[in-house]
Amino acid sequence: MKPITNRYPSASDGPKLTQAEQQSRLLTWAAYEANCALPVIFVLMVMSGLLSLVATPIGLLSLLSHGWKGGFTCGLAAVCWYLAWELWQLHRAIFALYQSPAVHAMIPVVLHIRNVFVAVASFFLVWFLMHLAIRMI
Amino acid sequence: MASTDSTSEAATDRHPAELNLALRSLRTWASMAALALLVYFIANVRLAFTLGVNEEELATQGPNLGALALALVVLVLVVGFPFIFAILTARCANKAASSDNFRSIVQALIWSRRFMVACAVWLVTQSALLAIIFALGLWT
Repeated sequence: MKPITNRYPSASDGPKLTQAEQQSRLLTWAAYEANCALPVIFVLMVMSGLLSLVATPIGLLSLLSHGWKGGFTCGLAAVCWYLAWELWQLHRAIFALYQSPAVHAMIPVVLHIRNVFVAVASFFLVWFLMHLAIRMI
Repeated sequence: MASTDSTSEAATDRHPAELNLALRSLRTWASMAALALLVYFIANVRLAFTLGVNEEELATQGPNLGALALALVVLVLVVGFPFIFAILTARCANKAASSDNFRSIVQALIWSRRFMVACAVWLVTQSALLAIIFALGLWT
């Protein structure tokens, strides 16, 4: 009698799948999971775009009135633009993966997710430098 | 649970080198984002300490403990979640790159999606907090 184990059903429970079939199933799952992120990517992209639209004129005015100190606000605006752009590119890459799931279509998705992390890390770095500059001045 | 699944064990043929490179890069930058969030948290704790009081009041009366506790709870909630999700994305990306496990890539995708949700929540909370602080004239 087969022992009862606490695990998800797998390929061994049914007819044996070939390597290519398993890869195809996993790719379809990856495409589905990536596709689920599209609404939040869209919302974050719109918010980031709005933030950059607000921050750009403030940054430019601050650059004119405070000199280099205003550069931090410009930096934040630039990072917001970059984040919005990367989210748009990620949106496109996920759409392409969902249309035709393939291992090579996965590479741009991973790279654009990496770039989103780069933008978020840069945002907090610029914010921290601005915080330090305000404290020191 | 996932490691005992024969689907994940069977589908461990070699990933393309570009995918492994991209996954290693994702691991590095997710860790950097987590580090940046930690720095942001520490800097904001100091800011929360002086919320609503000026330096002289702080020296004589001490901090407003109610406002401080509220600010710390909000900070832990809105910074803690993206921090944890960034760490988990880095962990899954590392596992996927080192073991050629496709299931880990999907888990990295899921954690990065949760990270983006947490970032959106942070952005909304931060904007609302700033609006409240400026509206109440609490900025010192």
